[in-house]
Amino acid sequence: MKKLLLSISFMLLIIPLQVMGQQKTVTGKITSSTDGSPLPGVNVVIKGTMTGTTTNIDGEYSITIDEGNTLVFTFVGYSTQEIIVGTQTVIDVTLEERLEALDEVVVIGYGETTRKSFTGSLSSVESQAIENIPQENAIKMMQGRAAGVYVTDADGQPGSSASILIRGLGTFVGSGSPLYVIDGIPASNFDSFNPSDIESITFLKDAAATSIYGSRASAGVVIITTKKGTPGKTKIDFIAQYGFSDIENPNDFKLMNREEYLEYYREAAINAGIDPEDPASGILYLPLSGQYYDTDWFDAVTRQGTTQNYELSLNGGSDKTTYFFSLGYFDQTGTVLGTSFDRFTGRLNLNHKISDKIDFELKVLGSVNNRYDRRGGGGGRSGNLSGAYRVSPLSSIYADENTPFIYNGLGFNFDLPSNAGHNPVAVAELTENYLQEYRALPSLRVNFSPIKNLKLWASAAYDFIYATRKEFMSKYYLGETEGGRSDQSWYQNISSNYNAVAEYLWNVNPDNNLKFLAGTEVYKYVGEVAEAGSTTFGFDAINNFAAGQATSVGKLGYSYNGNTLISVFTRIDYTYKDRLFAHGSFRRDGSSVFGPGNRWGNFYALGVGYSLTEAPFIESIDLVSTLKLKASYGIAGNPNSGDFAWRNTYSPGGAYNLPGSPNPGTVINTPGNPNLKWEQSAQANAGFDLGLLNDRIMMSLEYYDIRSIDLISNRPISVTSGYTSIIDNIAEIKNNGIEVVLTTTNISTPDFIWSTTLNITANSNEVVSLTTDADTLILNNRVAHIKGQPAYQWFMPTYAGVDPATGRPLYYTETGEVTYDYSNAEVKVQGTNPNVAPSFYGGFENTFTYKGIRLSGLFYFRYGGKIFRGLYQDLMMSGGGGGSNMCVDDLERWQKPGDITDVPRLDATYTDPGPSSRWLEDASYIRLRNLSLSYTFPKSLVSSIGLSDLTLSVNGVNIITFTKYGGLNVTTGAEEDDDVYPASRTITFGINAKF
Amino acid sequence: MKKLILLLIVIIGISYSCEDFLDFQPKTLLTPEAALHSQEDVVLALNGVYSSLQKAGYFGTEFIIIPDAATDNGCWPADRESAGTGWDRLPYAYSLELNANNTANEFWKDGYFTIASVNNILARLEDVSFDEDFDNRVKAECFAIRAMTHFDLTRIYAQDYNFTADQSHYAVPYQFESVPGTDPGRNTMAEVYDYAMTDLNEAISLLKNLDGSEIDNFRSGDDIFFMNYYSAIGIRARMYFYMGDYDNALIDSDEILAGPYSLSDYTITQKIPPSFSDPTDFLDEWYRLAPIVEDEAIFQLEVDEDDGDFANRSLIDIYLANDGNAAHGASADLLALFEAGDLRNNWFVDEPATPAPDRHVYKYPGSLGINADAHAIPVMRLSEFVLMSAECEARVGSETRALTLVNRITSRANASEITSTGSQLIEDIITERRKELSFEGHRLFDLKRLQRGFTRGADCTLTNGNCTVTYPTNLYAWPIPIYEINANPVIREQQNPGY
Repeated sequence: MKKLLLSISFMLLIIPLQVMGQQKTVTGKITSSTDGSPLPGVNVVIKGTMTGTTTNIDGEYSITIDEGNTLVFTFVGYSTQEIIVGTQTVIDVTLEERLEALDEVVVIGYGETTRKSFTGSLSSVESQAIENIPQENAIKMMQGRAAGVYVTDADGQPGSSASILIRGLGTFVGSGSPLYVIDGIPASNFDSFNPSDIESITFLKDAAATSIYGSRASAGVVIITTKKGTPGKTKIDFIAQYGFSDIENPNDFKLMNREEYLEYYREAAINAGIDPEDPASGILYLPLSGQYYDTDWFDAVTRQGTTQNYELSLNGGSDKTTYFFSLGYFDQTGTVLGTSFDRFTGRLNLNHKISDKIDFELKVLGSVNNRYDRRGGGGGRSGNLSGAYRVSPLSSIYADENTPFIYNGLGFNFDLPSNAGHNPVAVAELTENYLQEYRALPSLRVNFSPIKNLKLWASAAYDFIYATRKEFMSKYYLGETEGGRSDQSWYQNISSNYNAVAEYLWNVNPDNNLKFLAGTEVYKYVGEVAEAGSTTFGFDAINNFAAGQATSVGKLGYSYNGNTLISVFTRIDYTYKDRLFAHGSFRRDGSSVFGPGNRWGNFYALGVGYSLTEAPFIESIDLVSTLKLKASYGIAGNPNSGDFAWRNTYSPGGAYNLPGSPNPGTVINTPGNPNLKWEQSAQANAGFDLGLLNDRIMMSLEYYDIRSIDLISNRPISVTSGYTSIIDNIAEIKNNGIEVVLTTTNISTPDFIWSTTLNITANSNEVVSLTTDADTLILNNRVAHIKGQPAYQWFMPTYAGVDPATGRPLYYTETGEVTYDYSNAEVKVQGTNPNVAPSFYGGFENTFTYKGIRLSGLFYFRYGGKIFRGLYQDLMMSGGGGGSNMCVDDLERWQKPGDITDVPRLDATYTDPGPSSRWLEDASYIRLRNLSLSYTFPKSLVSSIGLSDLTLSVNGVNIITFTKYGGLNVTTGAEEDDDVYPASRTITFGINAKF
Repeated sequence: MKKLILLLIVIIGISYSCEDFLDFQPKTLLTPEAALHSQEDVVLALNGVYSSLQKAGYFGTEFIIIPDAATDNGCWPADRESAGTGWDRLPYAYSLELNANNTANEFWKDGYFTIASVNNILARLEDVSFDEDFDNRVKAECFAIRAMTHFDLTRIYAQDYNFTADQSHYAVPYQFESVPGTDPGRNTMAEVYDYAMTDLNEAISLLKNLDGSEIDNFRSGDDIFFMNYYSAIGIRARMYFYMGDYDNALIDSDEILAGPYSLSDYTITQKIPPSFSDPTDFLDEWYRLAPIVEDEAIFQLEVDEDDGDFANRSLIDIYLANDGNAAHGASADLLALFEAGDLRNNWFVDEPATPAPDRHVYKYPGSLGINADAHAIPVMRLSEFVLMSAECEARVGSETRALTLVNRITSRANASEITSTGSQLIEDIITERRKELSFEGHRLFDLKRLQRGFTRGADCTLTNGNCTVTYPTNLYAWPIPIYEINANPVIREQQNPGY
């Protein structure tokens, strides 16, 4: 043992020694090949070491180096250059703007690397790609931009979250969201970020890339890096955008107007033997001679939304200190009445060098969000939209002289047939669903290089989220029987993260280089929610939770969650001759969400890459400019089981309250499972990068295979134990797929450039085993997990259309015959949830620049999967809707024997028997997701008025959508209902001035 | 080497503090150790056990509704309100369209929840002892509740005790310990009665010497709301009675009759609230919040919908509903058994509403609107044991005493005296029992005990053939719920016939 320790010490001693030699000082200036301007901030490093410097404001550097060593000049966006130092003392360098794609520097876990030497799988999106997109959330902007990254922007609600699924769903708990790491700190989301503060977003997709994040990495990792200051004159950047949003309705979804409604319900009444001219027919008393309104409720509840965005940023500093400071204000009113979102953000990123060896980085984000959501439906109360779809067009929005007094709620008409209280305009006006969120995210990192080649850093970061929510319903809203209702909640989520990392570079010899990284990390999260609510308000305006005057105590609630994580991790990268790259990483995580015996888990990955670019047989082919092969395998984990799920718990409750004698109690709560452990995801990845024609054509292809085993799920157990289920590691899912990215520069002349990027991902998802030994696990009357199929399959009878003889709906039986009897129909797999397993999806972007004009358009496409149209089912009731308004499609009904149609005969007594394939629609679509046109004035022109840059732009989101789906939001979750906020098309006009 | 040891010490030290850091404790939940730490904690858990008896599957709704609705006592009101799709309130209890998916599927769960709660306390008392009398009192109550719950589960999910001559038919798994993840099979009826008797005998012998003071410092409330010596005897009496062991049933029943109880008077002084549309007087002793019929209450529960997990499913909702549109009512045949002038007619409200007359059950009016969904459940009261002793005497003892006993019930109700003899006397006592204990959860179990079917009267409009049920029938052993069948491969092979 002693010998081993000795030899290690010896090695540590000699490594720094071997680079000692004839030293001298070299100076020089770095300029850009494009315009000859000096480049500040260029990294100048002695090859094979971590010793280096950066250029100052004037692009100048000075460094001490041994003769015969090599200087490496790297700068983001430029090709790396290497120069062997001979006798010269001045080395000026002109850096070429990057041509070789693989030299690009990319951010990875706990560091940076180049695409070339990286053996795992990642996609990164740079800030330029998302500039000026009029959306509040950078995640939403990612749709179509990265292979293997499936973004669902389900909701048109301003300020709503978007979700990301990387390389398919591999868990049954939670949404399968990736881990977000913001400037090195794990954070719950980045909804409250100003997208313009983001320098780059990197998606780590395979174990070689993610397993350094260990137990939280199985669903991938999203690394967000914010902008840093660059030394030099202070640059002021001002952006103003203003624009409009309208509901996008690609297939002309329409509700009935007065005439259609009358025709429809009169026919339904007559077919059911009810006389629409007879006043005793109630809702179906619809005499032709009647006086009716013709209200377009949907139109009344929707409007043109507005978007405005203002940003100001300052960026500059000296050799020692640089800063990036930004302020932003975003405000959007939604297309549904009563919905809006605004956000104020401020950020300061400060870097300061204390000495050559020590520097620190301080980053602080502060933001305030205000969001007015629509009311969701449920609890017997309608949401903002349910009435818009359903209230009869014959009724008026506002009370008139014929409205009975008791149905007059603050001027709104609540005298609505069949849906009293569901006046959607009144819902928007008389209810409130408000969320205010404060967030602060400060972090401090100190870097220390005590000796050559050794870099140490430590960081501390916090994420504070404080929010209040209020749901209020006015006492004048007559669907509300409780005299008004107000529910308020307050929550705070606080995470803290500390880490310490050491990185050491060992230049064994010119051909063999090793980089070691080792670190430790501690993380803690605590989330608390307090809730209170009450009813029966005397004054509508005084509607806090304590102002209610109901005799019974309203809602009171408190919840507490939290978890802790301790980790050690290490990574070794080996490079041979800048051609062969090997990578190994290991992380050991201890987490509070598992019992003492299973707290610690090990995660690892191995990767290898080989660049053939320099190989003689490739070099001889002029066509091929880049070729790299890579493969990796590793294990990542997912602890997403619930903070206390492993524990056997009692909960306070079960009070045995007797007349005059309160007796508080405790009850058994969860059985716990001390054997619960991490979900494991074994991930294999292989691929190549190919560059043709001097990298004007770049193609990369990757194949992956992911086995997610020990998936956590509630396993039903014998209820004789007192419990219905126990949490356990049981199920298994596999995903495999192919990602292709093709980037081409089609035309490149000094004035005109046309470039194209295409990415396509095809993922196949399969449930390998379920929570029980059964092959099918039915989740509800529409959805089931089935072994061998993707998760969340549509599972229901097949619609056989309408019997031309009778007009009644038909379904297929098991023997393939048709039947009227729904309960006798065969229940079978009908298709896949598009948000779990689309056949393929991707993005296609073209960018044209001509002098100052830039035009770019991104198409997003998704193919495969089906949406269950629950709302449509409700709006196609074949006359049985009891006076609810219906979709005009229901007028395509069967009317006489021989009619061929899919829509049954109208009948006021009809009820739809239940879910069937009739309500499933193809979820495929192609959408022009972003379109941007900008003009940058010539510098010579704007410099005369003191500007360094001036750009005018028009930007759009969801410009046009092509789909067969007939509803209002094809990106919806896979089930359409009242609460789906229609997708909107947004167009903004912007100005960007730089000083 | 020293350095290495030092290094190891440092690593161990770090690991130790790691384990502390990783032991992140919940703040709204309790670990088992913290939950049962002191005497007071044990009583809190025991309170939790009693509250579990009030759950919707047990005395809160299902176990009280089913035994009357499922027999000739029950009827669907003509204006019955189903409370919406998926919210219908136990329609199967009357229609007897029984299946494993949705019939009595709360009772199995809630019953075994009670048993698991009891077993947790008993397991804890194996490990620690606080005070001998205290421990014994808690154990005794736990044993009695464990026996009662298993016995009650057999009443729904198994045929009657004498269905097979050697009681070898399936009853329910008897759980002396509740271990999640194990798959117990059903015990035979003989085994369940044997185990329950063991638990009860243990409870009775402990309770004989304990008066409740051992535990009174830690809880409050009238003795009738907790298991005591007489309630344990009462459960045993019921079991002997169901076994047909009338000698032993008589001994136990008579011990209760000799106990500190007297029949409550039935009086009418209160008038109905003015807002109530249908003029009826209620019996004072029943028209109130708990305790009701206090003089004769042996074991009683108070159910408050606000405390429970059963919106729109309390007895008040099901029998009275908000506007009279109840989900279950009383049969015309049952009401015809009450003579005019019988005070017990005031348990019912005749509603001559369209489309047909209805007979609503107002046995538990609570305080009628003052606390809308709170009412008492008389789990055991003296009248039951007066009638039990009467029936036992008529079968194996003195007819004279049987007549004296049963006429204590008739005379209180202002009904005609029973004077019959022989088998007619037994019949009359059974009928009196049907009347007196109607809608208290007895009728189905009495019919099973007597191995009789039943025929519903003209107000039965079912078209599924269940207006008449002939013994033996699969309808007397209800299906084990599907969730148990799915999760437990042993019981999967032991489902009751016909399901």
